[in-house]
Amino acid sequence: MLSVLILSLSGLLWAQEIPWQDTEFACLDRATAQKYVRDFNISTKSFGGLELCNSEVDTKKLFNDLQIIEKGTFDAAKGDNKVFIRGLVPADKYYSWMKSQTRGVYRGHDMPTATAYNSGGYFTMQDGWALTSTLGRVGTIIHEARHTEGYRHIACAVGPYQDISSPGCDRNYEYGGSHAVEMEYYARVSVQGQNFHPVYQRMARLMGIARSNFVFNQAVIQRKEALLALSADRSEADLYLENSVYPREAPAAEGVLKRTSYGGSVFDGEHAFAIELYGSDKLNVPVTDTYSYFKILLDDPKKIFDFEEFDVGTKRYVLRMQTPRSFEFFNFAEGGWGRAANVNIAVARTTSATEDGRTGYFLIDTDNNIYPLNAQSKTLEAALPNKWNSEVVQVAAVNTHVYVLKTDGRIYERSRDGQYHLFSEDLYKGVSSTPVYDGFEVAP
Amino acid sequence: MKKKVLGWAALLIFGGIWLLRTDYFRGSEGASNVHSSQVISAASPSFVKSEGESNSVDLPSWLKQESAKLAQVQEDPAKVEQSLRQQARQLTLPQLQLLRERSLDLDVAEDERFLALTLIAWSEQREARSLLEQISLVPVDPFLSPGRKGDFERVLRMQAVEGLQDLALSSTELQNSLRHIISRSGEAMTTDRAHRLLWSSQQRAPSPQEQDKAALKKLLQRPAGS
Repeated sequence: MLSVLILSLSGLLWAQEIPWQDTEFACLDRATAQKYVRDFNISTKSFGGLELCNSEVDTKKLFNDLQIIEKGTFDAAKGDNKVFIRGLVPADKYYSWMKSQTRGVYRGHDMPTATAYNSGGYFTMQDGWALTSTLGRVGTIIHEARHTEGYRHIACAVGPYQDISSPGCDRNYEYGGSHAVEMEYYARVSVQGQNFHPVYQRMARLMGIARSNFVFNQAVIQRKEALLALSADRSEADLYLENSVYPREAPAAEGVLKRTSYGGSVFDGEHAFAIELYGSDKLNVPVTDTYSYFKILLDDPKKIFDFEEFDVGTKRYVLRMQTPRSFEFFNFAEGGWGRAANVNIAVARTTSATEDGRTGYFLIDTDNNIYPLNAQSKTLEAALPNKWNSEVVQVAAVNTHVYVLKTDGRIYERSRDGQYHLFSEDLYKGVSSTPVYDGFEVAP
Repeated sequence: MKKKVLGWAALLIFGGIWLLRTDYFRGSEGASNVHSSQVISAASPSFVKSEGESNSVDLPSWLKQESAKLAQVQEDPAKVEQSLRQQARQLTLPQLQLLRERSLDLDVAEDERFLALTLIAWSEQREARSLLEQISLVPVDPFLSPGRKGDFERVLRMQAVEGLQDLALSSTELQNSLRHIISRSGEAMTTDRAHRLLWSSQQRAPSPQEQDKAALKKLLQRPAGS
């Protein structure tokens, strides 16, 4: 009777404190924890003491990370048709590799802007590490381990990190630095992972794609880019993609060929008409562009001087110039146009690319001086050293190639030494780069 | 005698309570009976209350518990996904709205936020459409970027866009949602994802997932220094 009473009460208490059996599985056995402490020389005290169950405690977070590294498995042949893969870190050696690169792990608060840092093989995990996702934490510690071998970051030239003063990027993937090792891990989890949580695996795919755009000065995974050229008689637009040319129907409209986030459009100063890149219906009817940001034109239809949408790093900007004397940016958060800023130069034309391969938005004055418009500060910068070539009608930068449409109606590819090489004998009215959404390109 | 028995009973009960209240069973104080976490099971109690179900719990607690599994390797990931999808399909609109709140709450753990968002998509319900649109269009706080926090926010929005394809929408509804996102998002990665999904929904490109995996596979086949 008494034992029944005790069991019932204990059972009730257990149900309240630990409602599900699964919580028990979240605990780590002491021997494994001690192995991790020993293998990585973990300062458990700095992490909040030895904790085997509660993942709110930073020690347990670190144990979780190490356990995923130790127990996570990959099928190297998965979908690869037995292609030989030589990884930066062998897929089955993450734990031993980590161990060999780690002299000690501490928890600190001394560098709040960093997620973690490595000093001679001693890692100090900062608050940012503790606050990030499990995937982010695992990625961070793998990233830090690579620094032990002497791989260092450099200043970011592109992306969201470009404005920070401290070095945060790697030159490229080939360098094989910390970002490359981290990226390789995400790719492995996503493509070859065998026993990871499906949500963790999903996050790894997206993180791999996203960070590849942020952390390398030379992007690894690029959106496929193509050249779009509007024929001289405006009857068609030719899509140049990977050594092939695809004739596409052009809208029967007078205007300037513009790159859009959707492909390309012909902008007549008031309306934008979309070019169908993926087929040629031969309908010969102008289709209003309701797919890209040029759709915003429909909110306030009137004749304006220019309209452009362009990316700087991960930010997209939409700008209009109602007259050559002022510009305004679209405020996405508020769903309307921001305050107009005046321009103190005599604007003759604009361009979204220059002959030296720069992209963004540039104003060109009547003396052919080129002024970059800084989208972040929303200010006009000093004129570039080179003037606009008066023989040039339009410029398109496609990956590392620069295509120039000259007044003779022909497209030339401009080499880095400034030489022009005839690209096409056909006559054109406009050129633009265009995104093509049929896959990512891994940069050669 | 009766008093003596009751006294012992009280001692045993309070002793039991003490043992459970301390870290003894949690392993922090030198316990030897903690459980191994080599793999965890896919089965977990449901947050859905049904008659006679004793272990049903409230959604936030369940979500927190379930998200802890992201930090564990899995015996059968496919089974885990199947189980989560099955539970997600039973979510009610107020629960979906709660998940929306959790997914956008910067004070909630990132694993939990990402799982909350994934569940909205896996609910497959038409009502989730506007919730996913809203999440994808919430601007990324500039104070979080640059940094891993900002990267996570972008990934979360990419996932919100992708989640639309899980819902029971007609292709027109899906495409209208994507066009809405394209014309209203200021995040290049969000619009990029929406474009990819749009073209995919028109059978003009592989799915964004297939595109990602093909790119990541190429990356693994082309290691650094080669």
